[in-house]
Amino acid sequence: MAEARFLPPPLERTQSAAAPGGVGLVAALRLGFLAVVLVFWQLAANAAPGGLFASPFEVALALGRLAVGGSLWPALGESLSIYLAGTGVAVVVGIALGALMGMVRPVGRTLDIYVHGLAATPRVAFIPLIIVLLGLGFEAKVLVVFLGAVMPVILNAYAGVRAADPDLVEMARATGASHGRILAHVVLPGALPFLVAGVRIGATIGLINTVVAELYTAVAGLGGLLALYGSRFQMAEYLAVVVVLATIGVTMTEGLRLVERRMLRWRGRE
Amino acid sequence: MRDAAHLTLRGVALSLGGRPVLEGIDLTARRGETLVLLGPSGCGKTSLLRLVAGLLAPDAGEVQVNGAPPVPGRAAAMVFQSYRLLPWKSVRANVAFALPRLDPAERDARVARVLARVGLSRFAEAWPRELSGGMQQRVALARALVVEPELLLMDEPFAALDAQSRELMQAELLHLTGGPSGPTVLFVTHSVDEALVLADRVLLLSPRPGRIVEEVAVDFPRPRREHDPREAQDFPALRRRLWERLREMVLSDPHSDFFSGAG
Repeated sequence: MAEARFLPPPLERTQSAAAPGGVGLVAALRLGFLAVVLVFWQLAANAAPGGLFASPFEVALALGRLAVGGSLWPALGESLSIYLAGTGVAVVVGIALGALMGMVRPVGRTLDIYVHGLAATPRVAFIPLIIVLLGLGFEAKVLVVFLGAVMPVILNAYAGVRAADPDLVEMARATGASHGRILAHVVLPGALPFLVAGVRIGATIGLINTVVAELYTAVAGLGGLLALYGSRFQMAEYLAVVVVLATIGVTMTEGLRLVERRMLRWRGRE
Repeated sequence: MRDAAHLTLRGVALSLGGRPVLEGIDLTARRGETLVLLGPSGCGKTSLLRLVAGLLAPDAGEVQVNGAPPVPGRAAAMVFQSYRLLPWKSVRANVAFALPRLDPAERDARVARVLARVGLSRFAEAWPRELSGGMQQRVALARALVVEPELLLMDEPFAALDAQSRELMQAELLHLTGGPSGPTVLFVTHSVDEALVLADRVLLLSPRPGRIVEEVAVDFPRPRREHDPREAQDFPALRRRLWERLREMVLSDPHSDFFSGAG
């Protein structure tokens, strides 16, 4: 399982869009890179002994069969509901807890060592315990996703709130603003670059943990399909599921990037 | 009413981090009066403003605004040297931030009025980063004026501006705060000229721990936008007197960069 990592807010900003002709060029480069990957994939498939690997074309056909045959959709729905539930709760709880730790220093000083400790512990180690407590179903899986996704959100929210500009906080206090108002209008907006970075890492780990949970508890969803096709050496179907998972990941991170760009308009293009 | 004491400090002392910052401060401001605190860097002028704003409590003595200890946001509005605009809010929203308890329609009307007064109506939807320093400070001034404060606290508000903008802002401040119902102003600066242009009285503070060592009444006629005090006959003498006291304090302060040790 991937470890939660603390990352500083991304500094890349919107350089690609700022460069002359940037958006089109980036899209072209990305498609070009995809073509290179597909070529190498095809070459690898040609070189591998029959039945051990599948070509891009075979995978595309398998994806079509899964989509038309119908076994993809229930699995996708199940995985997405687990993924979005676990990650969504992680975002809310993580920001609330991180903000509390950052605003009330004794709480932060008390908890941060434990959060770091838990963040460095492979969450897969807790799965037997979670099964004992919650069984093999939806709740257990959501908890596995939550535990993975929540750590970077907490740590980034904590760091972001502590990085609040004391001059702006004092200005707000001078207007008579309450703690809640200072949090909502000064501290959290200032921490937004940190929060978005934390959510982006959390969302990635959440997807990984979704598959882990589906492999370690009741085998179901996209993780279940991976186990099924993997054990039967149906490599085209197996890789088709991998492509679906990658697509979910890309959609999520690109969506978050759009949200970030919209919410951080005030920074402008630097 | 205009002669009533609006602001009173009696025997105020303050230490920050174990170091004495202010000692034995007594001062009174009448309603509508402009008091300028003049002193070398690090004499506790800013801390004095924070005490009056209610952001800090004194270690000894008492601070009273309208006869009661100050409550942040109610006692006064404050303008800072570094503008302190919220970069994620538009100009309009930055000004509206000072009016959380007003209903939206009335708030919007007041914000629009004050932006017109400081000449920034066209920039209501701009982000702070898109404005020059002088314009940002006008937004900060608008944010203070929009609450229609009885007491305006200004902490070296024009020190970061270029000479031209500073002069224009001083004139604008005289215009905005002048008049019979204008606020009481407590203005911190280390510029002798600025003090003399704006003040009814100048209070000279010593280096840390800050004490009021001299009080100078500035009787130049008002409105001063029409009668530039710098053209008055006794301006040079007053200027020289304040500057010499200031220079003396800076040169004899062991914490100052210019301390010569000769006394």
